Amino acid sequence: MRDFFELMVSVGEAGGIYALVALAYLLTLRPTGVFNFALGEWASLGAFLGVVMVVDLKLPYLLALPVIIGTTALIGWSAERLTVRPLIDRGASELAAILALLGVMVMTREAIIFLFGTSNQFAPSPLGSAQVMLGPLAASSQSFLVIAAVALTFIAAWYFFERTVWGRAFEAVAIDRFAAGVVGINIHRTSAIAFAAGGGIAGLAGLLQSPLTSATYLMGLPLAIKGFSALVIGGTARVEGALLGGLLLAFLEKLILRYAPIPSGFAIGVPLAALIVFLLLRPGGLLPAKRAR
Amino acid sequence: MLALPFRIAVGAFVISMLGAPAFGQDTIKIGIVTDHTGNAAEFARIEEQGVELALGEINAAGGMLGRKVQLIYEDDEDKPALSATKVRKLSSAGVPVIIQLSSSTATQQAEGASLETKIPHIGANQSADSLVTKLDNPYFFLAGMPASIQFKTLIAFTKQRYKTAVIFADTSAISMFIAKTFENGLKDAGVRLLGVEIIETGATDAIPQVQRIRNANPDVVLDAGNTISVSAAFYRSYRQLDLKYPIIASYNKSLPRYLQLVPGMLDGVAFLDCFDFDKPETQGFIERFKAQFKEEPFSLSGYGYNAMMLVDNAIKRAGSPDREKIRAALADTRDFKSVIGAKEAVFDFSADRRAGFPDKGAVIRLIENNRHGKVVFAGY
Repeated sequence: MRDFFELMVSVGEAGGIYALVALAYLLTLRPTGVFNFALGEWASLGAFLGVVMVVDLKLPYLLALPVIIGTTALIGWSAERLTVRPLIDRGASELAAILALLGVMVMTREAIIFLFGTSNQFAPSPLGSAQVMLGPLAASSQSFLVIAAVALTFIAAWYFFERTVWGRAFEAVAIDRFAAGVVGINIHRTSAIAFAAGGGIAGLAGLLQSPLTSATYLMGLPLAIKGFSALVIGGTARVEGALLGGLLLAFLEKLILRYAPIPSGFAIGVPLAALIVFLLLRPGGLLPAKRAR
Repeated sequence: MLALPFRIAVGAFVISMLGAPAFGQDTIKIGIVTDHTGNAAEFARIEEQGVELALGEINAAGGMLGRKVQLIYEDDEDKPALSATKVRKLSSAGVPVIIQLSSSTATQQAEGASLETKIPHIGANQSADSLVTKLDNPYFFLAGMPASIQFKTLIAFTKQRYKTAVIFADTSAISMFIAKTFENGLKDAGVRLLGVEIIETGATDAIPQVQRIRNANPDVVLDAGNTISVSAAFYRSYRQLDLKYPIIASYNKSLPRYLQLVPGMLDGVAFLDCFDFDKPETQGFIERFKAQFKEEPFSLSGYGYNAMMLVDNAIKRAGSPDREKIRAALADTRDFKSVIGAKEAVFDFSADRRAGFPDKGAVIRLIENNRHGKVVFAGY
């Protein structure tokens, strides 16, 4: 039973980070129809900004947090204004926008290498390295911080989409961009805010992961892949899907790695094989779109 | 954080733009192929400190052949194709000898260029044995600690103390190579392997793998990890689950960066290294390094220092900056007392050995109080 509880914290921590990246994908995907693979690198940027703010400039974590999220949000907003919007306005296909964002991804990674170098950087946890016991659950304070931050983010996202006019406007644009424009919703502003929110959440994901593994320019791609997988599993229609997808992916990973009677080298590939089987059985993801209200 | 690499890059650029012949009447210019921006920058920057220290000492002692010595840096970004180009560029600039500080992969490619241009070429830190076996290049000399010596030492240390082991590795090619070599070495040594736990790049923790190690209950864990973020995740998980099995790590854990990334979590880990504090040459090097840089050196700086001193030794014996004469002098290097290698070990490139690191020169050290500590084993 001890193993199981240890694994559950690990699932919450890893799955939470995957879910944040999946949410960032979902936010940018819904109003524009564009998959933004640059998100992984924005997460990496969030991690390095954390090092600069907290380690180099010695800013208090709570002060650094909005600056970091704001910076990656600004990058998301700029990417929408400079690449996605001009292409969509000129009638280019969504594939063209995806390609442009791949360019943004490469540029972001090169900028990170130029600014911060290729060395891993120490990123401290705001709560220190102490072990924490919560009932039968024991883990590092950072693990519990990740789980709490993810929970808060998803509650805020759910509230935004379900309880605010802006959230409804997002949904309207996602359902029918043209019709939303006809009824007076500012499509451009909605898309820009979506990219800014996606950038901010990606930055938060990187910031939360960095105390666990260090900040490295190599962290973006694995995060982008895991977040995308979580999005596909959960479905692209609802915020809850991103959370469910992230947790399910991590659950599969950890349980297979721990209990499958195969070497861990093979076990690493099993969740992705499971993902293929899952897609064949349920191509739309776990959670379908809600009916129009 | 921006300042140091930027300053180094600008400095390298300015120096390379000077375009003057590499040795005029007053100076001898030594070519340094290094990495300021690629995957080897992590250790190349530290090695450069050793090169700079040696340069200062050589010049203070009158230079080489009565001429001041200068360095021409070229950044190969640890990219093999670029590395070969940089060797050709330095050769065209007229340097008499090149020291390379980037990885084995980049150096392997650069070797073709040194053979083609017939320029003496010293690999300061690389470990791939193939550097002296794959290409019959009489101009290339390996001063790094060959992997074969590293593994013999690690396995001998393991065999002496333990009967069962688990290997931890990551998904990088180098880590898989180290794990496979460990596996073969343990088999030959009669140490029973209970499992190989692999952690993928990008993993946020290694809890399942560490649980499997706990379940296997080995005498020792062999750390073949190479990707720094994965190793950080492994050690965090290992300490989180409070496992007490001793850990023996490859040379990778001699990188000082680990002491910063997972402070205190590597205490008690035995790792392979080439620095022996009991050696007078090493002690002197440490004191001089501390005086110049106001910090403790790591063995990586020793590699840079050693390569530069090998060049100094060879040029003085050659009596000329002529490349062929330097090559012959390097090939005839023997009984060279280096700052790296175990206490009694000396460098030797004679008898057609283009790998000069002493056979029994590797040591096993302990990490104590978040510092590289005492030597607990040497040779094999």
